[in-house]
Amino acid sequence: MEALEKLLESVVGRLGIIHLDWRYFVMWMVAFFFLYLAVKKKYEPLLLLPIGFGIFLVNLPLAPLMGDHELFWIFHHYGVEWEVIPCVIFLGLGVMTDFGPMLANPKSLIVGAGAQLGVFVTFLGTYVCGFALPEAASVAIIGGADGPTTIYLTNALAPQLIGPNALAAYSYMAMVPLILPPIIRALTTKEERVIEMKQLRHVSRMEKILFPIIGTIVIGLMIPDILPLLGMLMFGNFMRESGVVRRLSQTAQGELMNIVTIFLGISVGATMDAENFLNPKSLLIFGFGIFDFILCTAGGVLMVKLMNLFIKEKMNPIIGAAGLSAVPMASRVCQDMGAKEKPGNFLLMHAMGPNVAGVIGTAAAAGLMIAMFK
Amino acid sequence: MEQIWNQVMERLSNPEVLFGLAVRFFGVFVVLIIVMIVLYLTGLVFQRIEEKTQEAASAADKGGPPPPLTPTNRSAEAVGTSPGSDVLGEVAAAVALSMVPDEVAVAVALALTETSKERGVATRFPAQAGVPAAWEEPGMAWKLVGRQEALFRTTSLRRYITSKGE
Repeated sequence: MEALEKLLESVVGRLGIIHLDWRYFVMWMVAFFFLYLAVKKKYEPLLLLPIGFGIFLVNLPLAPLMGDHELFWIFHHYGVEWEVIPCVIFLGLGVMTDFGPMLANPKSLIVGAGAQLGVFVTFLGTYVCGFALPEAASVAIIGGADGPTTIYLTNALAPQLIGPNALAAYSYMAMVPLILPPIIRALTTKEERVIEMKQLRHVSRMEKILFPIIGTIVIGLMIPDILPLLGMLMFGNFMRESGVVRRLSQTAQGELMNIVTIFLGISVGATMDAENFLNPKSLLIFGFGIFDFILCTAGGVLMVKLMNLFIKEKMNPIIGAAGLSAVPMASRVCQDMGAKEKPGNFLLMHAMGPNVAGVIGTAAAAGLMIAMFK
Repeated sequence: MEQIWNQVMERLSNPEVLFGLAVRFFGVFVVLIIVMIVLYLTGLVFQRIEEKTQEAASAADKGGPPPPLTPTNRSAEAVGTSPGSDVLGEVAAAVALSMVPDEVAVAVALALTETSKERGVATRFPAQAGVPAAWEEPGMAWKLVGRQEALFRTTSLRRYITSKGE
């Protein structure tokens, strides 16, 4: 009889339903919200869908997924903790990115730097609110709107925050079309928004081939801490521009990118169990994240306005908002807005300059943070 | 409230924070400004090289101006194209037949390929078993070649190209 009781106890004890409590339901709601955004609203579905499903799976009681050497633990450990996935994503990003608009208009690098304003203000804000310095740095980089950089920096400085940080970064990136327009409108006048920009000069193939090498030398010598990310970005871009390794380029931007995106999404989602997520720090991170995004967008727009005071050929301040990385969504938003303000005003290529400069700027800011705190 | 305020002030008075923050913020600008200057200089060098190349090309062309690229309101018969004529001829014929730019590209490519085949000239993209040629890559305009070939056969362009052939 006693043996039977023990057997029953062990069977019943292994039933997930016995261990359910309110926190699991809250986390399911969070997971379903991200799945809704991905499926119904089509906001960054490539990332929000695996993240949402990852959250859902790890928030089933007794799920053997994130314990030592369990499935998601392995994805997370070897992919994210070992910093493999963010760097591989940067490789794919490098292959997909055309730096031509930035090379044609190097001034856009300054716009990319201006868009880092939010990163530093948020850093101060989070620190004042009680976060440790490395934690504050990892939260601040969310505003750079660059998922892989956020994951890379957070993993280096505050790995315990990787779930909320990555989730905040990707969810706000998905909301770029909603966040950018009101800020741009608030900071610019109608006259400024209809400025037409001169067509960009032609950039020769040799220039494009040399950029990854020159860029790596210049940035690598100044901020070596960011070389794993930036080096892969430049390597990918070199493969693209050289034009001699078409098969490798196609793999890096296609299958390889898709594979690591699946593992990244599921790994990030898997870090979001109820215990890690349902605490005041995570909510603060989400609050600071949106504040950060707004300030970074404003920083880019204001930087263009400041530059317009000194340069002869005025820039349309709308493109400043693209200094927020989020390639190429931020540029598309700028293009749409410019075309709405003045039909026939094509800002897409002009916005791509600050957009890719924003990627480099965020990586530079992350490198400086790592250099200071690691 | 006062306690929170004191804590904030205490944290802000940490010189490492404010100084470090300023250093990092301006550090990003310094790094990107250096990259910008390097890109400007590289751009200038390449622009100069391009100008020189163009000058050299225009000096070489001084002997006779090239025929117009897009003759308007001309009939295809008037163009007088043949397998032996240059690419401009094929373009002119295609334009005269009101073909859209993609079709023009494909028509010219097809004409040249057929001509080279007829004359036994080696093509630029030799076919290898199982390996797609460069023009078959996704996104290439020439990928449309199959569809365009059907279109091409229905037009009279082919007649003009092959009528004076061997």
